[in-house]
Amino acid sequence: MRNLLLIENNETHPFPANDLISNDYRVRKINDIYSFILHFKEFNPDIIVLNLTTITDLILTELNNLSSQSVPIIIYTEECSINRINHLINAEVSFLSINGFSCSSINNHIDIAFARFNHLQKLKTALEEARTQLEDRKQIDRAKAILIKTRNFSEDEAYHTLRKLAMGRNITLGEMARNVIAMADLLK
Amino acid sequence: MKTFIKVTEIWIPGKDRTQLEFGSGLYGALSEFKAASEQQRFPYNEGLPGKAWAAGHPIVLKEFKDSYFKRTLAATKAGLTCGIALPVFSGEFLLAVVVFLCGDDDEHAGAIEVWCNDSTNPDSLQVLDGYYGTLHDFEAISKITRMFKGQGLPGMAWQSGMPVLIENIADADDFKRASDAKLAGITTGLSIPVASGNDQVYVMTFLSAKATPLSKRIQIWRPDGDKLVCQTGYSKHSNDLAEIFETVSIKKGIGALGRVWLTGMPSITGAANDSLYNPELDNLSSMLAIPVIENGKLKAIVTFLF
Repeated sequence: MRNLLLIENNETHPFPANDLISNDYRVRKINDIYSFILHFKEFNPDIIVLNLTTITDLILTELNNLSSQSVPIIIYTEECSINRINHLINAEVSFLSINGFSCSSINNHIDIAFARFNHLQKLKTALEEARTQLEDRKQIDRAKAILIKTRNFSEDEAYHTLRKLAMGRNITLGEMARNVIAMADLLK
Repeated sequence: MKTFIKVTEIWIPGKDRTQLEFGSGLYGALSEFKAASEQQRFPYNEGLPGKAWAAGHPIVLKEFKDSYFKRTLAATKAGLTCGIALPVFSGEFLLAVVVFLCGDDDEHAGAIEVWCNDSTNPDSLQVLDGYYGTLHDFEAISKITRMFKGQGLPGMAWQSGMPVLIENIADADDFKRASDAKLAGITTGLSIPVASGNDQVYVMTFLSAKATPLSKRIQIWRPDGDKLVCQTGYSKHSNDLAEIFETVSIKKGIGALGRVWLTGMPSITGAANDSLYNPELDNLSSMLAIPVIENGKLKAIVTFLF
């Protein structure tokens, strides 16, 4: 069963929680944005839906605080400026609908939100891996340069020495490179 | 890996050279004790560093409570129970005081001694003071033992004027107390001669068990012409990375050890960012380098790598 946290102040067009296609949702509804984070921590939702008349600065702040919490967020609002839209995209909102919703579409919106959220998570993971690889490569080059200077190794010899040291410790080349740099720093 | 030495500090004379100020230190996770130490000042003959300055030789403080030690509360909280201060002089002028602080429990077997001769027995060394932790029998034997030049670990350091490192002390022919060391579980010994005037000799010895070595690695570097070369490197586990760097020749003034040679000042390097340190990898993240000076010339540099 999934937990859905609903934050709602749009009394004209209330979110039709009863129309959720499956009964696999436990819904907690709150009206008070001030208690948003508290409920988030306590309820541990799998998805957050905000059904609001307008997007305020306070909501943007709360969403920015949440962006690292890793759950899809759906927002329904009746008005939203281009500036606000940009802020919501930066806050990693998975689905945004302006001018409300139809009861028949909410299940599709949830599916889209989960799909977008998962896609974004994959991209973030891939980006983090690429950053780590790039950083490792820089460290490996630096460690090789240290070994070349210290031992008059050729580039190949430096690389093979680094690899041998890493294998002996059962650690990655990047980790070993950091060890070599740390050791050289001691003698700096 | 647990090491016998928990904290190392370097205290240096302030601008007017009348009191000692905090130079640098390695505290591991003991951040509260570090904070308590950084603000301290030690006038001549006050506190552990000040007392070593006044005495002019290494001193051992086995009990902090009700002593001249100034940071007793913080030390007790950090589990530190004994301190050793090693003054580094150039002639009669103090360059720095190196302080070692150790923890005393059943898991930390080791001893630190100060040996010296005296006017009635100028040709032999005896224990002036020592910290033995739980090694009571070894302490009793040591206190009645005299070492002549070339004899045992302190006598060898006296004769050569050089630091001496013995890896398997219990099996060493040269170590007079080998069988007693074996009984006490001591495996490694390091002795460092400390310069002093006239015929007065002081030698510090560090003895440790295999489970709790003094530090992760110990090196002895010595000048060879215009370069510094590594004579000995030892650690509990072999460390091929450290060995690579021990083949390096170091020029005076270049790098941490080159600066120790140039200035005669002990130094601590590394550990700038403790979060990078991963003990699981047996990283060597910091180094204490102590110069051994005789007649104003560098004889050797002893490094403790943590």
